[in-house]
Amino acid sequence: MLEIKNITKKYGEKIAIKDISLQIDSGEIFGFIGHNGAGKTTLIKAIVGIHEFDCGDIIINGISIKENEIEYKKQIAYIPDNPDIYENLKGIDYLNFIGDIYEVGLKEREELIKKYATIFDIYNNLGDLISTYSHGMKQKLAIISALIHNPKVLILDEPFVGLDPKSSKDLKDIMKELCENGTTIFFSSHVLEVVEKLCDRVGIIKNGKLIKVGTTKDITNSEDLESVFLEITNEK
Amino acid sequence: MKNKLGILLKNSLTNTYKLRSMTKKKLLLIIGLVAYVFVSIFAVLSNYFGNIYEKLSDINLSNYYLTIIFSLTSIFSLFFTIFSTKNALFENKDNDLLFSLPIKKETILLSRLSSILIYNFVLGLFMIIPGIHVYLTNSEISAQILIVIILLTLFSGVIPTIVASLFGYLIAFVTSKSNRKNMIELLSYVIFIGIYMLVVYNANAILELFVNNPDLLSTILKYVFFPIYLINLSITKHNLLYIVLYVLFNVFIIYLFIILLDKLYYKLIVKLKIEKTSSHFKMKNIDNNSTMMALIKKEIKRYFSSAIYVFNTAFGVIFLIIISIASFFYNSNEILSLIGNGLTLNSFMLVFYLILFVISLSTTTNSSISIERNNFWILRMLPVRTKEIFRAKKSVNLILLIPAILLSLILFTISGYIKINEMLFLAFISVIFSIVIANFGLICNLLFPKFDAPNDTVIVKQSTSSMMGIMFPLIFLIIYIVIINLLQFSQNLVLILTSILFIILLIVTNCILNIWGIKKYRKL
Repeated sequence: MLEIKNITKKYGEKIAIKDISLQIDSGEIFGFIGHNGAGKTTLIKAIVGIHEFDCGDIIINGISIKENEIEYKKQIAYIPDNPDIYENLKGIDYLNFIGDIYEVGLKEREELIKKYATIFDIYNNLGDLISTYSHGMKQKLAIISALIHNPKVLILDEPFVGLDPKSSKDLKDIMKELCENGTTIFFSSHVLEVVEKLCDRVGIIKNGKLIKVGTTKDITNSEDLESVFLEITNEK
Repeated sequence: MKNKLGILLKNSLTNTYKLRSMTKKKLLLIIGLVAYVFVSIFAVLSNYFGNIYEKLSDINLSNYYLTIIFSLTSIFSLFFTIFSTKNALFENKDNDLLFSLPIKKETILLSRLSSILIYNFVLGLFMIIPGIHVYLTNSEISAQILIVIILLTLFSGVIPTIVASLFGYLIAFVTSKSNRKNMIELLSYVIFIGIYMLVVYNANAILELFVNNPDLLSTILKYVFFPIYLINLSITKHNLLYIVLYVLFNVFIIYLFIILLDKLYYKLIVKLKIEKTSSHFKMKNIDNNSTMMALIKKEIKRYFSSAIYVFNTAFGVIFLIIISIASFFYNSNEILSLIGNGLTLNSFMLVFYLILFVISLSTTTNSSISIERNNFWILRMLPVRTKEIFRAKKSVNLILLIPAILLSLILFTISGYIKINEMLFLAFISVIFSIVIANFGLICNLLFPKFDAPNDTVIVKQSTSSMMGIMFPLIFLIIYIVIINLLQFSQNLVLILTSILFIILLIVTNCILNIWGIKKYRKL
């Protein structure tokens, strides 16, 4: 379970996110949507531990990021919107680096790398430098690196950007499979159709505040998510 | 309609030096730092140039003084620029953006060249100002000479920029045809340094030859170093025509450079991006590493992936090993003549000072956080302690330094420069000081991180933290050496005091890193 408790983050005088609280259960897919600059990435980076926050706390399965950061982070995997990964390493080097840090056993690591690299069709490219990869290939490598240590919480920021249709479908299937095994998934996206189809619950953020949270069915009612989103964020 | 060259240049300088986000506090700090460095260099160079002027006056050749100053400035600028031109010209992050815009390719090339030129001009001022100061205090100055000096100062950066850029083109051309890009780039730098050191080694002999044969000097200047010939004539003949010709010559070589190499520019940028790939990957035996080992391996791979990072930091170490080998063939006075005239040191003190200076010049940690650039989020996200990250970064510095220092100490012992007990003492001091310097470099980088550099060269050679990480330890060492020489301590006392001082510095820098450093890192 992922618990976000009264998180506020400021950049100088500007409040990026204000007093956000959320609880996402194990096995749930939570979609997070908002306009550009609403605070989605700020919240995501606070959850993942890239940025500190000014007040509040974030707890995963009883472990607080403030009290036990290392154990907290061992439970998370993060896939950023822009996969800036070490270009001077080969694909397999990067996966092994992540595997070593998360203390993934050799046999398990090998199996998972083979499994996911084959699904995403980049197995044959793992011996090449990441600098030779296209954007989509880097995105796939980032996804594989997130999956090989069996995270309890998977945080994704615009995960479908740069992926071809087959890979997008594969990622959605993997997300569903992980959920069935109890993984909590929190992801932001601008592709509202995907959010509508995939997510159990949706949260809408506007100007740093969480303005609506609910099941997809409750939020959309008889409309589509895009109409609801535009109405709520007053952009219609 | 705005000039596109001006737009590109303004954009480049604003972005590289973060002018939009420059607060008053930061500006004052930078001005203070630059002023401190400038004053230190001014003091040293004024003394050095004053000696040159005296010696030239003694043989009635003081009219060659300005020629020598501006020539030395060109050589100095060339040395500092030559390692960065390949990156500055070819490996910018905004290449794709700029080439997609309605801007001529030669304008883009000229804007890049202009950035290097401005950098060289500013760098050159550090030598020119003390040089001119000595000239003004010793000579009568006319309006003509003043105009000549101003124009020479303004155009002093052109020739080193063009020569360095040609070198950059050559490296780019050769590496574009090879898979071992880093190796070739590194080798080119080593060859250049070898030639440079050869010239420096023979500089005095060359100067004496010219001083004794002014006609020979004149002939060589006229037919080989034509721009310097024009400089010399403009000063000695008090004729403004020669300085006008010099200015036109500089403008002409820039024009020629752009016209001839513009077509190759875009092709090289594209070719440099292409790397060999394989489609026959087979999973081999994977090693299971600890967190610390995984971090260190990643740091080492990152270090060796950048030729400029390696060269900038490993040069001192390579130099030390060469000197230690040379100690079998030359005595300490002969080796000292390489470094500078007027120095008298016994062989032990030579080794002692050499090692301290090499350590202070070989910091990798002063750039090790900035060099993460867009990849920094990975370290921030991972379940690793900040202390472990710091330790991994320092480890690269220590892996680079300590084996090389120990090897050179062994060689110096065998060649008889130092005794075994001195070797042990020096080994201890070297290890402690290496850790101090690694700590200090990290502190500098935490104070002045630079994640938005367009390429590694800007981080490694031009960032505030990289300059601080080298200048402050160097200045500290110079002051320390002056003090211990003035107080005329015995060798044993020097060793004991140095050990105590370095242990204190180690404790202090460790505390700073473990308390302040961790907090600062988490806010990055």
